[in-house]
Order: sequence, then C-alpha cells, then structure tokens
Amino acid sequence: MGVYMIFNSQQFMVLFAITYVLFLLFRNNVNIRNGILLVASYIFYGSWNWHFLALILLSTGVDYYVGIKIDETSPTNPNRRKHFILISIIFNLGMLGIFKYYNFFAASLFDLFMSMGIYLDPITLDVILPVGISFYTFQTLSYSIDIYREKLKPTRNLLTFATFVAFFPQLVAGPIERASNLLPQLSAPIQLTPAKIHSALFLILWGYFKKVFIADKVAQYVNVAFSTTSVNTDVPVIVAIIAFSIQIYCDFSGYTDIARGIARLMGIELMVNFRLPYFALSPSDFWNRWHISLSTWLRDYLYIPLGGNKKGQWKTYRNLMITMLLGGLWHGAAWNFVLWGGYHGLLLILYRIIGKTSKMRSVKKQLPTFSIVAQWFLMISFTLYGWLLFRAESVDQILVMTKQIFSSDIYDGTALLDVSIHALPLLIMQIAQVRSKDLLMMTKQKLWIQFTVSIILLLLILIYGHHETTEFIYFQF
Amino acid sequence: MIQDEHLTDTSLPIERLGNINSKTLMGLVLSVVLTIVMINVAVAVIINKSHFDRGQVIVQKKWELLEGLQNPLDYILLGDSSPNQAFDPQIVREELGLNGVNLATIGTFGFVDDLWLLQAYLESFDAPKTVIIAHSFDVPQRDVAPLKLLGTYRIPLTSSITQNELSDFSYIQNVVTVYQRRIFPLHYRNETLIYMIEQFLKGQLDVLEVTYLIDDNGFMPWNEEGIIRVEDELAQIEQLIVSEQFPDEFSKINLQAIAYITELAQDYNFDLYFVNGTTYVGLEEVLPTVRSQLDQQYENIAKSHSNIHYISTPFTFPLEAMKSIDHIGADYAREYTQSLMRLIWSNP
Repeated sequence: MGVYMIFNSQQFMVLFAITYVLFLLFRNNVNIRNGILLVASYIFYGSWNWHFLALILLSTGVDYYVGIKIDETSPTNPNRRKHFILISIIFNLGMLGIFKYYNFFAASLFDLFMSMGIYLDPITLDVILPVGISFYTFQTLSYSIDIYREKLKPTRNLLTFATFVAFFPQLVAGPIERASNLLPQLSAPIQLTPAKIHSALFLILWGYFKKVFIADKVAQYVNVAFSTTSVNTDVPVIVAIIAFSIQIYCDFSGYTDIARGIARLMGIELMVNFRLPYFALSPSDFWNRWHISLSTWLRDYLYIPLGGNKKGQWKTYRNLMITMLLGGLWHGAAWNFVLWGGYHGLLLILYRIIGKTSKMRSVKKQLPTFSIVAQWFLMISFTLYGWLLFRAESVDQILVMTKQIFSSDIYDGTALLDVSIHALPLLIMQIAQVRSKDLLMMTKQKLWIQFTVSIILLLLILIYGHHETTEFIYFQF
Repeated sequence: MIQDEHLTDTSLPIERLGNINSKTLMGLVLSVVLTIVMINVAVAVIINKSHFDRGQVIVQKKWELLEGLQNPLDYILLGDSSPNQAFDPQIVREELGLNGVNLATIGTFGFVDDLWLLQAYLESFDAPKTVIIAHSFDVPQRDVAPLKLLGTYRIPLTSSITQNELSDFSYIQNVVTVYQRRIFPLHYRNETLIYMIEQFLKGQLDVLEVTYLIDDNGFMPWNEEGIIRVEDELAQIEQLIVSEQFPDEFSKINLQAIAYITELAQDYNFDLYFVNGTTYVGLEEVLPTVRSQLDQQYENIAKSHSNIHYISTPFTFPLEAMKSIDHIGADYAREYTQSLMRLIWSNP
C-alpha cells in the first residue's frame, strides 16, 4: 500500500473516521459491526506489509480450530486435549521463534562457537519482523490455554474471533487482551454513554500529547546520547537515561491511551496497561503498574505454571528469574533485553529477601513520609538504571555509560532544561492523578478547567509537536 | 472499569468514570473545537499580514513584481538570495539599455521556483532573449519539497503550479496538500509560530517587523550589519568538506526542475545562462573539489543544447564586502552586476 498507518498519521485518521461512521451506523448488528472492524483491522495491519496478513490469518485459523477441538474433547481424554493445546503452543511460539528470534539465536550460536575456535556455517534467514507479532501471538495463545484450563468457552463465530485477534486499536502494541474480557464485548450490544465518550476523548488527547509533545521531543536527546557514533555528546548520561525513561513511558502509555480511547469510543473496554509506574515503591509494585497486560500474562501463563511461590523459597526465586528473563526476551531479540529482564528479576528476588527480614517497617511507622520518599527514590533509581540496560546498543555501551553516570560532566544544561520543560505537564498531571488516586481525574474537573487544559494540550500538540510521524517504540516488540 | 472493579491492590490508582450528560459533553467538545479553529484563523491572518519572515517577504514581492509587469523584457534573472541582493538591473539598463528584472528569491526553493516564475512569465509574454539563473554554491544540492513550499509561501497558484510536473502526486493531492498547509498554519507553520512565540517572550516582536526594501527592478540592496559571522560559517563548511559530509551532487528535484527549464529554453528559443552567486574569497580556497563537481554537472546540462550556457567563473569578494558567506552588501552589487554583464552580453 505504500503508506503504513500509525495513530498519529493522517492515513490512520481517515481510516478511523470512515470505520467509526460505519460502525455507528451498524452498531446494532453484531456481525456487520464486527465485519467492519475486521476489514478496518486488516487494512490497518496490511498497510505495514500485506504479506503479514497471512500470518495473522493463520494464527486466527489455528487457535479458532484448537479452541473448538479442545472444547469438543472430553476432559476424560486429557491426552487428546493436551495434543491440541500443544498445537497452539508450538504454532504460536514457533511463529515467534522463526520471525523474531531465529536470527538472534543463530548469530549467538555462531559467536559462541567462534569464541571456542569452531567455525559454524551460519544459516540466517533474512526475515522481517512482522509488526505486533509478540502481542497477537500471546493473545491467541492465552485464548487456547484458557479453554484448555476450562476457564473459557470457545467462540464458534469465526468473524468474532478474527476481530478479537486483529482488533486494530490494540493489534500492534497491545494491551495484550484476554479473550474473557474482549470476546464478550465483541458479541454483545454496544453501550455508549456520554461519560464513556468523555473519558475516551480525554484518553486520546492525553495519549497524543504524551506521544507527540513529550516522547518524540525528548527522543532527540536520547538518540544523540545513545548513538553508537557519538562519543562525547552534550547530553550527559544521567540526562539521557532520564530522557529515555520519559520517552519510553510516554511513547508506550501514549499509544495505549489512544488505543483504549479509540476502543472506548466504540464502546469496547481494553485493559488498563499503566498505573503511574514511576510512582512505584518497590519492584513488585512497579510490575503491578508497568505494562500490566504483559506482566499479568507472564504471571498467569508462565510464573504460576512454573510453580509460582508455592514450592519453596529457592524455586520461587528461580521462577521469578525465568519469568523475567523471558519477559525481557519478549521485548526483542537482543542480549540487552535479556539483561534488563534479568536485572528486574534480581530486583524482585532481592526485594523478597529484604522484605522478609527488613526492619524498615518500624522505621516506616515512625517516619512514614521519609520512608516513602526514600523507597521511591531507591526504586526510581533502580528503574532508571534498568532503562540504560534496555536502551543501550551494546554491552560495551552499558559499561561506558555506567562509568559516565558518576563522572561530573560539565555542560550547559540545555538538554536537561528542554527535557524538563517537556516533562513538566506529565509531572503535573501525574501528581494530580496520584493525589486523587484516579487516572481519569481530569474528566471530573470544572468545565472551565477541562476546557483550558484541552486547549493548551491541543495547541502544544499542534505547534510544538513533532510532525513527522514516528513509529511507536513498542511496535518493534 | 471492568478490571478496576476487581482490583485487589487498593493502593493503585484506578479509572473512575465521571458523570456528564450529552449536552454538557457536546458543549465542551464544540467549544474546544471552535476555539482551536478561531485561534487557527487568527494565526493565519497574523502570518499573512506580518513581514517578519524574510523568505516570505522576498518570495511574495518577487511574484507581485512579476504579476505587475506591463511589458515584455529583454532578460530576467532568477535564482536565490545571493543574486537577489547582488544583481541590480538598473545598472544593466544604464549601461546596456536592456530591460530586465531580478526575480531571484531564496535558496530554499532551489531551481523549483525558477521554473515556476519562468512558466508564469511565459504565460503572459513572449520569451525574453536571455534568462539568467544564478545560484549559490550550496543550492543545487538541496532537496526541495515543492508542495510544502507552495503551502508555506504566498505564491499564486497558477495552473502550471497546481498541475505541478515536479510532484509525483495527483492534481487533487497537490491541491489538498497545498491548501491544508495554507488553511491550518497552526499545525503546518509551527517553525514560524515557534519563532514568533520565542520573539514575543523575549519582548522582541518589533524586530520581526523588518521591512525589506526591494526596488522596482527586484533588486534588494542589503546594508544591515552582517547577521552571520562569515568566518564561523566558513569553519563549519570547511569541517563538512574535510569530513566529506558536504554534498556535491545536484538533488533529484533540482535536476527535474532544470530539465523542464532547459526544455523551455529550447521550445521558446531563448539563451539560458547558469551562473554562480557571490561568495567570500576565503570560501573558494576550501571549495575546489565541490566546485569542480558542480561545474561538471552544470557543464553536462549546458552541453544539451546550443542556447544553454554555463559560466563557471566564481564571483568572489573580500571579507569586508560580505554580509554572510555568500551574500554581499549593497555597495558591492555594482561589481557583481557588471562582471555578470560583461560575461553574458559582451560574448555574442
């Protein structure tokens, strides 16, 4: 098609406008409505590369078939049920393995043998990573597993199932939806209320603002600082890390807000994926707030099946580490993601160890404010360092930049000032959200406040926004 | 929210839907949209009436000059800001009795508006005997986006422009692209707006209202003190050349525009001269490789037809003459004009 669609592109806006009008016209007819959504979803996905459509069609077909077959097989025949669930697991993970990880493992194996002086003829596939494959394979996999666990009944409507797999607002970067949440909504009458539309519009506006005004702007500093060619830039490492932490949060949560807002405009609720993660006070608190749809997926389909925390202390630590290492690897076929996952695994383990023996509780009772601030500072510092592991181009760069964190860079402060200016609206909004414990607190403000904030956000998006459409970071995962 | 209702960790923030009726919501949305539209209209008016954007003023004045022409001319000069403030047609009139205008605009357009201005001239008059196109050393390499420029600058949308041979898009796409940029400056003119806002915040909005004195022949004498430090600029260029980052190939869009211009020269049978703009003498010392590459490409173009010529002479000036690396002060315009005059009209 020549033009790929992302939420801040004109092509997407045109597609959504047409889809939405048709959707509203046929909202009372479930099949026509889902048909419209499915066509729009395939146009959206095909705009990236129409060849990828074959994968999503295949994934849809396999899990639709597997779901029905598992359901049709009596629980008294567990081997046959296991046989079908294995088809889904092998197919989905196999697809991920081939398209996402094959080259990575082949190259790593090649390097390993080379380091031992053995030359291994590398067979690499020149495959392009299909957009969003990590998201929809996890989504379809959870559908089949839930049926296998008898927690879900399969749908026998292929159109509804295909729409569940390909639903365009969350197709390429989540949230990773559970069938138990999305399928019933796709099969039921749509309930649109003014309050839902109101909150949806707020989510879309705030999401665009985070993406366009904050993430894309601070990205300029991040890209310079992490460029492999730049040795000494004007952007100090600590500023670069802070900038990246703001960029990745605003980029990903911005995308999620827009996705959820768009879905909600159609009366469909998607999972909350972020709950102010940078206000977390501990590693486990962080993972209750960051990319929740992935962390809960890993918990339900990996950590708990491994035994969770029910099989003793050491196995709990082992399970945590395996889950986080694979969670890291899910983000991309590179060792720094594995390192990042391992780092967070270690934090979770250490927190469990310290949490059990800590005497901090008594301190917390005496000095709650101090304790909370100290905990927050510690956690945000750990989180920030994690982002260095995540963003770095190589292990060497991690080592060099780690040393530079503690060096006293002399610079003019322009980068820090610019990053701070762009992050200020985020800080103000989030403090208000923390205080009210309500992510939609803006929709309850007086009308003149809502009006003024909307105008300011829109003007900043229009005037200062980065107008060249840039991809959302999580599309690559 | 569904999942929020089942949230067990009560310390986490949740989503709570508000309570709003459809009338209030509609009122809020409409008032926001209307306010943004009104701000947009106000911005469009301010931008169109202001004179703070040097490029806008020059381009607009040159088009007004072209549209105001009553009689055909002996020659026209096209190009960028370097000849805009270096070539004075009055001197040619006095010395050779030839009537012509300086329609040179700014480098941002490359050869693209040379083509548009020439096409517009030929729509109104018979071809002049001579067309001179003068560009600075870094203009042929520039990548130009014709539709963006049309949307940004106040250029009359003649049929030849909207049908735009230089665009890969359809007529409708051309028109939509151009008008959306003109109608929604809030979104598309953000650089201009940011500049305005910054000047306003510094309390320097008055400096934006500089008027540019372009005379009736299109010559813009420049007497202001040098805005850019020539030596600094030279150092930057030298660094780019040394690191082999200074481009020396004509851009694709410029080559396309030149191809159409040379076709016109053949169809209308006029003499077409490609010449250099003005440069600081120190620059030529660091420029020989780039210059020879550019010369080669110009010469290839000139070979295509007998009435297409390239004058490779660089027009260099001492530091005291320069207002920037490739712009001279008004006092030196006579020297450039006469040099050009001798090279073009004394060689039959």
